[in-house]
Amino acid sequence: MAEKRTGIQEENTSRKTDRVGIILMVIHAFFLMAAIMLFARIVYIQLTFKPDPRMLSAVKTRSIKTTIEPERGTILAHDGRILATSIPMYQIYMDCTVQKKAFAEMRDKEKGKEKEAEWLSKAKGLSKGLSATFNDKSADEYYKSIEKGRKSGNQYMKIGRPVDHGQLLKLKELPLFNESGYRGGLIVKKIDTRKYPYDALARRVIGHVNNNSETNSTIGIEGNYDYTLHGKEGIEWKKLTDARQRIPEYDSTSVAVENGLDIRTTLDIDIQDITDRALRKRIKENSNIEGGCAIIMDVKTGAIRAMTNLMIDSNGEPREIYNYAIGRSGDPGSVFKLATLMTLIEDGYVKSLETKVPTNKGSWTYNKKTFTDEYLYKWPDTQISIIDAFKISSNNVFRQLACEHYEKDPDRFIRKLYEYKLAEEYDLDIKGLARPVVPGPGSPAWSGTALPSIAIGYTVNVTPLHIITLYNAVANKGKMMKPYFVESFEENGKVKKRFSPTILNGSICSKATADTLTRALNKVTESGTGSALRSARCKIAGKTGTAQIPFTTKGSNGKDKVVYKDANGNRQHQATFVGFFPADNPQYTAIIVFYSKLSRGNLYGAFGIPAFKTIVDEMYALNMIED
Amino acid sequence: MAKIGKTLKNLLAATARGELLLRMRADKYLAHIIYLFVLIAFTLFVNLKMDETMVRREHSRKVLEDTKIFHAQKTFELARYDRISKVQEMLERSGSKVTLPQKKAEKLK
Repeated sequence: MAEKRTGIQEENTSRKTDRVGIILMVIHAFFLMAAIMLFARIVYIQLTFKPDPRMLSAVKTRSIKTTIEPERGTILAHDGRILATSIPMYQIYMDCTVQKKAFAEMRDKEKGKEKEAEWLSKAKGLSKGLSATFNDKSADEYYKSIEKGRKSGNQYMKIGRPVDHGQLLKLKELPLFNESGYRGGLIVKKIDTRKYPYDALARRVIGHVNNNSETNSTIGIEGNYDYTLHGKEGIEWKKLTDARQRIPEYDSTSVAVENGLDIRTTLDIDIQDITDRALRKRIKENSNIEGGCAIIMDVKTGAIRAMTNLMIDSNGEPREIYNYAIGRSGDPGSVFKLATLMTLIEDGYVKSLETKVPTNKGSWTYNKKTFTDEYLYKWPDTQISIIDAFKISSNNVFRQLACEHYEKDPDRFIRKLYEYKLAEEYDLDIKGLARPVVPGPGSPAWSGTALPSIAIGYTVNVTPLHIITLYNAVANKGKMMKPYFVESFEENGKVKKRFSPTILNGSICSKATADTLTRALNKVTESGTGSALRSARCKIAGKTGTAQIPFTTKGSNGKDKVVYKDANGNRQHQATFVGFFPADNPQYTAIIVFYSKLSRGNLYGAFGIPAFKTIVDEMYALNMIED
Repeated sequence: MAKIGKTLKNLLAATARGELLLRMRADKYLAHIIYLFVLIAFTLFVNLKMDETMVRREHSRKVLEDTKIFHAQKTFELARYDRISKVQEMLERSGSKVTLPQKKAEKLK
């Protein structure tokens, strides 16, 4: 019996084991089949299957390549104030057709119409906001154009004018524009724009571009340092995350963007502003003025603190149109006498400024040509000291002295002028320096009367920059500094490259000669042609200069000829005043030049004196000149 | 060839019976398999988190750029009021009698 029970029990147990085993086998077989099918499917997909291209493009994660535009470097004044910077502006467009199709295709037509009406009602609110922002159209006009755009299918309707960032944020709060682009239709196009906080101040020096893509400008620092300011484009690859967001994909082909370097200039914007106002005011006081320029230079370093160039435009307004300061090379006139006197003193031909020379009653003949001098004609004595001749700007005295001592060796005189860098085209920080011309013996411009002509500042062509550089050297005790505009390249406030002051000539004259010349220049402003500067807030040493500008006109035979006066008696003048201050401890050298229109009127060197005095007085009052 | 045939036959038989891993003594490497599984899961998790961080970073970059633009805009607007002649104009327009100083400021020693 027990065996039979055991046999049944064993049978029962064996049946149970078989049942579990069978279930497990079935599950195992199922998974085994699934695995085999999976394996077969993988092999099929890898070797045979070609997916639908549209499905592939929608599902496959693609990296997109974007070019990152560099930020253009900022141009800074000497003290870090911004002269030029890049700020994006934004042009708004609107896709008037957003959601129109979706509303029209809604199953519930009534609901679709409701939604459409709601959208149009928001468009009314938007129109009010746009009208208030742009002030170019009424709210009604804006709404009508949006409605018309929606009907005609306009997906890129321009709205208003470019706006700045603050205005864009306000626009994004308006109805419709405060929703996503697919619902509200807002399209924003970023426009990289160059901005100048001081408007046209020093425009010819700073330059002007509209944006960082403009590469054909050659004006000023913007033009000459475009490569430094521009920076280098970067390349970024972006991939889609699982959440369909774009993030950078860093691989070897990504290139980091290099923003442009900032340029710190030598300009002092306050001095620039003072100079601009003084020049502008003086130009407006005389309708015969074509234009003028002014330069302020730091004595010790040669740094240009201000350069203003104003030319009367077609509306009669003075504007920064042409760079006279470096671009106009012409006869400098009597200011050149300093170079003549310097040469005479250095060569030992003039041992004392008190040395007297005969006046000849203002008439002197050389190489069969008679030169008259009205100042000498009026001089009460038959002799005149060199310092007095300098202060009244006598032409004949300097003609006589130059011819007396350099007639046999004019080359020596000319070589000295070359030492003063008057014939040098400096490597300036901005383009456009006109070529100076100092003719020597043997050159086509040389003639029998070239020497006496050069001695008083004719027959030579130099720019106002050359003249101020010469006077600056005298102020600096004979050390001639090269004028420069750029102090350093910076990146995020750190200096990447610094430009030090450069010496053009370590000693164009001895310190004793420089002191003697300063005494002569002081005499001019104390009791000479520049005596109107006596009342200036600090002592100025300087020289006036008047020159007639040669111009081209038609001769009687119809051919072009260069004359100083045409058949109708019209002439053109250049009036200059150049000097340094304070005279006893010079810190700045300045030059002011005015150019007259072609007319019968005159323009004398002293014309620039009131503007010069204003500049000095205001700089003094604003503590820009140390005691 | 016969050996290869026999091995294949044993392989198929073991797979059919569900004894393949046991025959291969895979139980000895169970810890390694689990470790590998955890490692892969962790890597996937970290990659996901990295993606999320990158998305936040991109968002922050946009906010930073907007802020920079806003700052540049305000600096530009402020610089426009920095000009001496502009200040003088504004003072004149408002009827003020304040002008540029006529003499230097006295320094207190």
